[in-house]
Amino acid sequence: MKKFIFNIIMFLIPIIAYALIIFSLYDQVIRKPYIQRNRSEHLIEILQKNETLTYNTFILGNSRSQMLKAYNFNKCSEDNSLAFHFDNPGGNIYHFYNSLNYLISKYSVKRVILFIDGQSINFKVDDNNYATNLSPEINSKYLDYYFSFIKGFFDYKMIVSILYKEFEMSPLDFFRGYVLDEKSYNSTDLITGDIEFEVDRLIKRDRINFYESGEFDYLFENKYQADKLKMNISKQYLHKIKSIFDIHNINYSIVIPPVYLNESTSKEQVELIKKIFNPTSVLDFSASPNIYNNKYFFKDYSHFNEQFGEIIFSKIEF
Amino acid sequence: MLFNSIEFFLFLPLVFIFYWFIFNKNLKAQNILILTSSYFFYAWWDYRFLGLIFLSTLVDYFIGINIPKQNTVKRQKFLLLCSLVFNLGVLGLFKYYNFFIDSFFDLVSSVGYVPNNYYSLNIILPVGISFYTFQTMSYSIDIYKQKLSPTKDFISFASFVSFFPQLVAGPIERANNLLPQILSKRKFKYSNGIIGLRLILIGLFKKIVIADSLSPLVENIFNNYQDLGGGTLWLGAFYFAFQIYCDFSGYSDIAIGTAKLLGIQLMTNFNFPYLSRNVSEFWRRWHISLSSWFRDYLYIPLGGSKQGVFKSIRNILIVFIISGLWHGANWTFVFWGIFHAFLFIPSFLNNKNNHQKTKINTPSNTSIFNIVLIIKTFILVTIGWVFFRSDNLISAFEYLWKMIFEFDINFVHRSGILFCLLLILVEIVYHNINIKYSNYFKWGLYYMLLFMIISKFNSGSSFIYFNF
Repeated sequence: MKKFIFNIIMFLIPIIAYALIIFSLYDQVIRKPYIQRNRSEHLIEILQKNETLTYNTFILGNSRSQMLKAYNFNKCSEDNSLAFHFDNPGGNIYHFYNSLNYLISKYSVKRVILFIDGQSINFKVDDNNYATNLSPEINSKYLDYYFSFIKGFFDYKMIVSILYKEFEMSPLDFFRGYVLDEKSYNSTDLITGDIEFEVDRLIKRDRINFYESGEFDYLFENKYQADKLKMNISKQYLHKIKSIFDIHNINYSIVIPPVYLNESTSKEQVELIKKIFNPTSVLDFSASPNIYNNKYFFKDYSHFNEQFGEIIFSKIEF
Repeated sequence: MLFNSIEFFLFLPLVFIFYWFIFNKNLKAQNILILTSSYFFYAWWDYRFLGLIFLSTLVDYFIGINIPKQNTVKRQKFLLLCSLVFNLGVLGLFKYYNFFIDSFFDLVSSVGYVPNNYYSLNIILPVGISFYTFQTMSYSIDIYKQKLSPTKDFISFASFVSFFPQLVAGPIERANNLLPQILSKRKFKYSNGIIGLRLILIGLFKKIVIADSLSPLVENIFNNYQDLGGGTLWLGAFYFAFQIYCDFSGYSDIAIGTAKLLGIQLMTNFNFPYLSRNVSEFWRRWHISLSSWFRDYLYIPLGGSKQGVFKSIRNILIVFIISGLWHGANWTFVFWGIFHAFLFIPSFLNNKNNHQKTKINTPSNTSIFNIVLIIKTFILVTIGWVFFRSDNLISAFEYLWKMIFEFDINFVHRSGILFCLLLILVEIVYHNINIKYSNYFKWGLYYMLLFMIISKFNSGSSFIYFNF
């Protein structure tokens, strides 16, 4: 037994030491511009720093809700209350439900704008992906969360990608996707949580050139195939979200965006959303070809730009 | 609790420490630990179904004790019948009730009669029910046949039924293998510990690195088969063949390895099934604990191959249909069973399934003729997997139609090929690990596997066989 335990310890020492080194560098690593920081952790950090501010309006979404800006709501605010954009990459109704619970425990929430589309309606618990996991402040899964961060550094592609960035070299195609490219560098507004990407700045600087370049056509190409809807569990979460709205008397708008250039939010899904929520509070853009066929509303094949965000904002009733 | 979860990697060392360092002097205490940790392991998924395992344990414990006490065979038979009715009843209610009700409704609707009411239930399938009910049934049958003496030690019997490494997805253990080990004092052996850890490592590699990487490709191809060419559909079917092998044999490896760490030897469940030269050999290599269960408790009691050709074929068909149904309450599984029966019958008629005449093929047997037979069998088995994986029979036939008659070489999702090749490479190296390599090489291999496992680790991705 002694030999067995000794050998296990000897075998595990390098692994544990490596994991501890990675963990000890957490704060330094997440502040690198090319590392996709966990968004919900970042947003909670901002909210905690702004504890003296009064937030009562929240946009709950994901990367596909970022075209709607919280500062538009703040411009219309008649008192000192503010809006905040609480999004999470890959956010789905599991994330929305947990985030909503967290927010109502901290704030007097009056209004929620919730983005639901064909992808986010599919239920998925955190999948151990550091970038898309919920912050453990929300769901208390500290172990899963920090493990998801550490495990990235057990992938040699991640390590090579970081070395490329540190030595300011352009990575080979084989290593793409592990760290952010320059167009995905972003900055977050420290009051509203609104995010601005390098690509947003590019559009603002030279809109015509951006849309007419061949590069955009490549970005505009739809490569997405929707997963099948696991109806029962999705239904349960939609009902849970609705009951929170009712219990806390929250004024809500459900936005169904016309994602991915085609009707990827199915009729079945739209009907389900309208059946569960008040249909007059559902802004359904899922069958709007004038939007999803118009490339000038997009910044890549799955993300809309601020111009479309303005249209959504104009339809929300106050 | 899943083997591929962070919780399990905290749970297992704790059980190991308590088992060998605190309770090692007292067999009863060790068995109580096995029982409580097994119930805890199961309750992590859903504590409500613990009652079902406990009831199943209780029923077969008392039936087992009382069968030998009966004076007449009639009474013994009655008790055995009680066990079978209870176990099959529980299985039927939780697993097959809706299937039979829905199928009946479809049948009567198809002849023009639409019933006013029919009652399908909103039932959750308790994980592992098909495994532990088969285990308890075989215990009572063996006692009835006087192949086994019942145990009076309830804790040991309950530990046998709920032994956590194999509780939810097998191997389906026989009482005459597992129970004596639980009833006798265990001693830790260094070599068993090392083999156990190695099995856990290779099992995790198969599940996390290979099966979980192929899973989204398979899902995408099977969900969108109407839009894809035949070449890609072949790839999808091959990927699924690798995925289900890695998923299930990976689970079995982890189960056997975990049991070894506790000083218990579980039966082998997989023996390079895709190296089989015909389908009857495949069934002696794939899910061995289930196929041998059906052989011993269904095929042989039905008369086996001793009552003439017609009855033998009938028995083979019954066994394969029930085996298909065991995998799931869906006509796709039934058809998968029938498909395998039709592949099995020719080799049976040629007397190829005779164990003495056809030895199990070994990985080192690489004659051209063997390779051709292996490829042929693999392709046939892969075609069978299309029925297994499809949502319904129509989809399965459409998928197969496109595979065969709309074949093209425009392969999409080729990335999965790398994972299949990686598995083959690792299996070859792993198979020879005790023979050729130095310790440095072995440790290098273990580190490589561990790094891959951690980098791909997705806590809580379910095992396919949990649905069965």
